[in-house]
Amino acid sequence: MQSYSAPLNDMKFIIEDFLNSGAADTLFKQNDIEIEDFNFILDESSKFCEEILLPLNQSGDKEGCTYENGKVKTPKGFKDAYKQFVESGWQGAALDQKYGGQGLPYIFNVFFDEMITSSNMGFGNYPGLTGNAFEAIKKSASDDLKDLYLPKLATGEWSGTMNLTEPQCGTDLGLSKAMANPQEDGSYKLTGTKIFITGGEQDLSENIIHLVLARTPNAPKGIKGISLFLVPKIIPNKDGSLGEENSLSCGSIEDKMGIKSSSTCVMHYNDAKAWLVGDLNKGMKAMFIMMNGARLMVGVQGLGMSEVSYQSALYYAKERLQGRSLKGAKKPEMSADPIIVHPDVRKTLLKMKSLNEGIRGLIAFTALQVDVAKYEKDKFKKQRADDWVALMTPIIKAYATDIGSESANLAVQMYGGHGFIKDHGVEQFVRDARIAQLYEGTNGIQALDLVGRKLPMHNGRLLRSFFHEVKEYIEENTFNYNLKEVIPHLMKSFGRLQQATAFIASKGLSDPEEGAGPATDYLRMFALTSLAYVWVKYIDISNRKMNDDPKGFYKAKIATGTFFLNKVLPETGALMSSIMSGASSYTKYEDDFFESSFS
Amino acid sequence: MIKNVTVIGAGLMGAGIAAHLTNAGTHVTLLDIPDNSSHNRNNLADQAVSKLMKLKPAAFTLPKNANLIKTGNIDDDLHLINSSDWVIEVIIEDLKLKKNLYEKIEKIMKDNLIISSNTSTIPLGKLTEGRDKKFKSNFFITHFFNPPRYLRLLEIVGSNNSDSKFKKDLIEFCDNKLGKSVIDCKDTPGFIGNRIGVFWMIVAAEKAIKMGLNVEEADTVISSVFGAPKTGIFGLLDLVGLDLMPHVMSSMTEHLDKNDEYNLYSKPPDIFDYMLENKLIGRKGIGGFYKLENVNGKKVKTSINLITKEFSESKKPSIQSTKLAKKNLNKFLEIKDKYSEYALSVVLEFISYTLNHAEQIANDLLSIDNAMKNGFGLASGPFELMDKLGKTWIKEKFLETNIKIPKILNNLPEEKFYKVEDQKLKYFDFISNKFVNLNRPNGIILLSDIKKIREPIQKISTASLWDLGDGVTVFEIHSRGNSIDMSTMQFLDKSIDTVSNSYKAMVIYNEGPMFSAGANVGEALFLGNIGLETELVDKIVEYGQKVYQKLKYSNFPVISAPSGMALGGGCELLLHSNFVQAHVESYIGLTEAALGICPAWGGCKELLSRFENNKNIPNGPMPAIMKAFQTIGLAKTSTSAPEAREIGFLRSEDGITMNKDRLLHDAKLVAINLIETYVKPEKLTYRLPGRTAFAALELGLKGMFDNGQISEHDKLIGHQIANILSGGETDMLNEVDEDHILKLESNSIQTLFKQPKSQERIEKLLETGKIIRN
Ligand SMILES: Cc1cc2nc3c(=O)[nH]c(=O)nc-3n(C[C@H](O)[C@H](O)[C@H](O)COP(=O)(O)OP(=O)(O)OC[C@H]3O[C@@H](n4cnc5c(N)ncnc54)[C@H](O)[C@@H]3O)c2cc1C
Repeated sequence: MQSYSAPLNDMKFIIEDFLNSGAADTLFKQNDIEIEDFNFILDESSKFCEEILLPLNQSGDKEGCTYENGKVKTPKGFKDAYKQFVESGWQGAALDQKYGGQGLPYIFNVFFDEMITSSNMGFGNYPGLTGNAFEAIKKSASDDLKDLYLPKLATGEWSGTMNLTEPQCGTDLGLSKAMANPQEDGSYKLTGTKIFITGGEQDLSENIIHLVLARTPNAPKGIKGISLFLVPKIIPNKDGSLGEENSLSCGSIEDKMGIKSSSTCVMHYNDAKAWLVGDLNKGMKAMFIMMNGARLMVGVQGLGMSEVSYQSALYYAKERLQGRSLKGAKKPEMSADPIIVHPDVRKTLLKMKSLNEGIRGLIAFTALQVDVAKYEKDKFKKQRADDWVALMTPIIKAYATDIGSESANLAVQMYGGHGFIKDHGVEQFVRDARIAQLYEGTNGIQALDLVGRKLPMHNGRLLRSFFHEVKEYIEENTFNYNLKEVIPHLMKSFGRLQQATAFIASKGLSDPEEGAGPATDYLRMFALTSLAYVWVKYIDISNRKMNDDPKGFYKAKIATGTFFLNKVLPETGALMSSIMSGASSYTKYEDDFFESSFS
Repeated sequence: MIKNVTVIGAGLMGAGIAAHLTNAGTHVTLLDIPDNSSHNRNNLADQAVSKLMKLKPAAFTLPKNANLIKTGNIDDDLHLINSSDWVIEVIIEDLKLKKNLYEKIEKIMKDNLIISSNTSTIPLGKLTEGRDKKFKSNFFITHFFNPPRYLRLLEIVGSNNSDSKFKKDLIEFCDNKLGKSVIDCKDTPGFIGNRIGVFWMIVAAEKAIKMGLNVEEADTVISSVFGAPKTGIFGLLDLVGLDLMPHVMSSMTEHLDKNDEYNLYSKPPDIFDYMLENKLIGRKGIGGFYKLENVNGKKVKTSINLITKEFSESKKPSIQSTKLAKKNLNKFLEIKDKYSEYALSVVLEFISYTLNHAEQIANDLLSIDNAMKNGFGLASGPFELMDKLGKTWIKEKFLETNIKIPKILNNLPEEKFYKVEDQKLKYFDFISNKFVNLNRPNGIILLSDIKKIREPIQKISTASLWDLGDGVTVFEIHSRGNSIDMSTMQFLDKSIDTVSNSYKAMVIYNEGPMFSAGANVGEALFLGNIGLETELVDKIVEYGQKVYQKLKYSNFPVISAPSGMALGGGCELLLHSNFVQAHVESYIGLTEAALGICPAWGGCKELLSRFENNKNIPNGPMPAIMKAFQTIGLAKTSTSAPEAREIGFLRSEDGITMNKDRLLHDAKLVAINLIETYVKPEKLTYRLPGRTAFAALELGLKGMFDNGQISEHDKLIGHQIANILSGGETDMLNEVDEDHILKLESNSIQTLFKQPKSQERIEKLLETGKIIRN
């Protein structure tokens, strides 16, 4: 059964205990909001997810989106849900107040998005992309465009999309063929076909604002000749009222593996009226602002899927009666013990739980840095926050979505054969979670971004934000008695990460394939070490809260963390061996050998 | 032997030549016409000398060289030529004026006075018309390139009447003393350099305009295809001065054959006229194709649009294919985008011109390659360029583009003009149509030659050890910027063992653009960034100290032979060498402080000891400490080897070589001389005042900070350097050893390396090449 209660205890722990350092405090002040109010809003938003979105998840998957004559119909109930979403003002919760948002800290967004995803990932994509489009327009577009579009996006009356992909152009955006021709009035006419466009057409919002990558005549070849354009479905009048339809259309929608309630559209632009966003030929820069936010949010989707998978698995593990505990029957009154008594089942559950809580902390800390980078005045602190976000974005995107998928599969495993049957709802998680590893840059590309761009950038300056943070923490706590069992775990994996980083950096210099080869292993190692850091801090905090722990929350934290450090973290050892043995065993593998077993 | 020289004509070129003559220790008499408007009849020459003092890049290797110039005017002082051994005429390019002057000289000259003209275009035959036999036998053309101190090419032209001993003397002097790469040229218009080089420039510029490239694009393409300096073509025209072009072009077309390809370009592009009319003549004026403009108080580099003639901010073009040009030129020239098509047409026209006229202008292809490399800064000469492309490929392209295949190409029996056979370098002699041995003159050894015929004793990707014969080895660094990273340091360590076991001496030398930019701070920064400070200390700082100590106290002599920059860790390498033979163009300095750190491979201890033993520095501990403090704290860098000696980076006994090509040979000679009698140096000991000296230096720092001369961060850096140089916790009663100071260096650099502002300085240097003050 799809079982979900928002992990509010954990979220509040993160806000009040984990992030309750100076930075979080000032941030709340900056945004003029009390922690109590924040918690209240969190409660309210969780109700929306649990009560409105969750019930539509399975039905939405079953019905899917339908296409007829250029129009897309979302599944039953979505329209109402979206209306409520808009009317309650959720869309603008963390957006800029200047344009009608409510200016909550960014951290609210990540928590809310996690809950939305857990409840209904397909639905979540519609408002999610609107938020990203809002940020991209705000950062790069002219004041006129901002004034006209942002307020409507902030309410959710209009929605946003991002149009990068074309049939011949996926990862390699330099291959884009869409063409925008300049017009006398300073606007453009854009022509081309985009595919896989999430929310390209739907029946939820009254207008859809497409952000489209295209080149202009005479633009340089490849990625350096790409510009970003704003293309509204309906061209607004100056006062924001809706004017005439633009010449663009949705040609069809895809029949997909998962997130069936989220429309994935083929979009045709046929001399559509378009406006340049940001500088000519600097489309990638403008788009990256959107993509970085979007990548973080896709990571959050991974966490959301992992959380609902965990909770659904837990639900079943307590319900399903099979076999007896090896220590003797736990429920002699029943025909059998619930499967949660079995060591392997417990271990599976804990793996999911410990990863979820760790990732949630890492994401929250990163979200905090997004705001710190925005508000901090001190140059070096600001830079450090920016560096942290840039460094962690690919790690969170790839690792959290890997875990989302892994947990979904583990949930199916928990249900045994029943997991394979649609009614139980967990197979949907496997199908839905899978996309997050693919879109917004596949996870392989994230790993390359980490190794090829983020590592060498400014001679490793981005790394400083993480490595120094952790190193200083270790040095301060080497003799912390409370941590004597846990610090060594962190030290060990941190040391491995340092060595692997130095190794990849020096190898990669002389042979780029040696850098790119171990990228995925390295990203995973980096992620696990970051989680170890989060967990050690959790344990440290919890140790100090043990006296006031009526519900055993802190005790549970320590126990979960102990599990993580002993059972999950050691994977870094295996990754280390793989990384340090170099890439030649596959880069030098002869092409013909791939076919040696069947030809 | 030439000891005294008279230069007639104190324009930019004449004065520059005079200055460079003094750099060679020569006494110079500089004459111009009398200035009748001034009470000082020598005004013109005097003015020229004071302008020289301010020139950038500096014309003098030491400002005091100016004292070697005696000024005068030709009306009153022409007789002074007879106290010279050589007189160079550098007056304006006007045949009549020159001939008048020669006539006067002829009347009073002594028998053994060598006379030369610096004309760039007028044939020798014309200049000596009407002169007597003696004059003719003593007369040559010596054609310098501007600026005379820095451009290594010197073309010499004699005639059938020339006295061969004079010619030999002249060549020897220009080569050994002035450090020039001297080429014996035929008496044809523009000789070799200008004939081929100006043609190359005009073709490259015209085609860029015709084919619709903008100035940045053309400059980038030309620079990467020809291995030319970043100035490319339009930047080069700015440097040379567009105003010179019409003169050169008209003089070329005037003296050249009517069929010569120059005639195709006799009408300059419209934009040239426009620019000349608007005084856009280049860097010496208000700007040229590039111009600095003031935008909101900031200097912004702008460039001209070749079509609209408007200036706008200069933007670096993004031409990805130029990377390919460096890797695989043939492939680049075949991709057929507008850049490659442009490059191909310039290349073909340039090499076709060269091949068609080679025999007429030069004795051999070496001269032509040399001229283009040393006169125009190309990485390879036209024949070397052709060797990259291959004869077959070139012929194909000539056929495709309907260019007649030059005879020399048809005569060439193999794919390339240069080859190695039986461990010997050979080149194609286009006169005999045979390959002949490439023999360098006595006193010239080039590592680049050795590399072609021999394998190194051992090598890694950033450094190699070569056998130079006679027990002498060469340690060559060839990393980016010739910086020294961990693996290079390990390799040096290993090479010391190798030399110690099997050879007798080590020369540290390379033929890159610089000796060494110092430690690879990028690597260090990275390690610091990932929190591996222990490795940074163990594997970089303290290991480096150990290896440099080992180098200094090894059982064989170590001779460093720098040319170009030797900064930071590169300078420390010199300081730990037993002898330095420096090229005159050596820019030496302990520049760590500019990066927010301090010398930590023994630079502080070595410099301190040198100053303590320097007789020109007053006795007692403080003067030496103060001098070291200023030198290191202000990151003083020499602008020449003689200045490095004055600052103290070179000892009085260290040698200076004027001609870069002779540097390795000179260093080898030193090595051979040292081998027999070599004993390793005594270990250094110091008596330092400790805290009291530290307090004095601190006071100085505070003063500078209060006056706003240095930043807070500079003060912090100064504080650390002061601690090292004052000896830390010690006093005058205590004798401390080198290790004591090395430890202080290590502690200080660790502290400084952790500072965000130091990291910022290093980062900015690595990313922009610029030093920031924060
Ligand atoms: C449901 C769904 C929704 C989507 N929504 C949107 C949207 O809203 N807007 C939009 O613009 N796009 C959207 N996309 C497109 C998505 O972002 C792309 O599919 C994705 O970026 C990958 O591109 P591709 O499918 O062409 O794969 P390819 O680029 O063809 O990659 C194939 C494989 O090769 C690997 N690979 C490629 N290049 C390299 C390399 N240099 N080094 C190593 N490995 C490499 C990849 O990791 C991948 O495994 C959506 C896709 C789907 C399925």
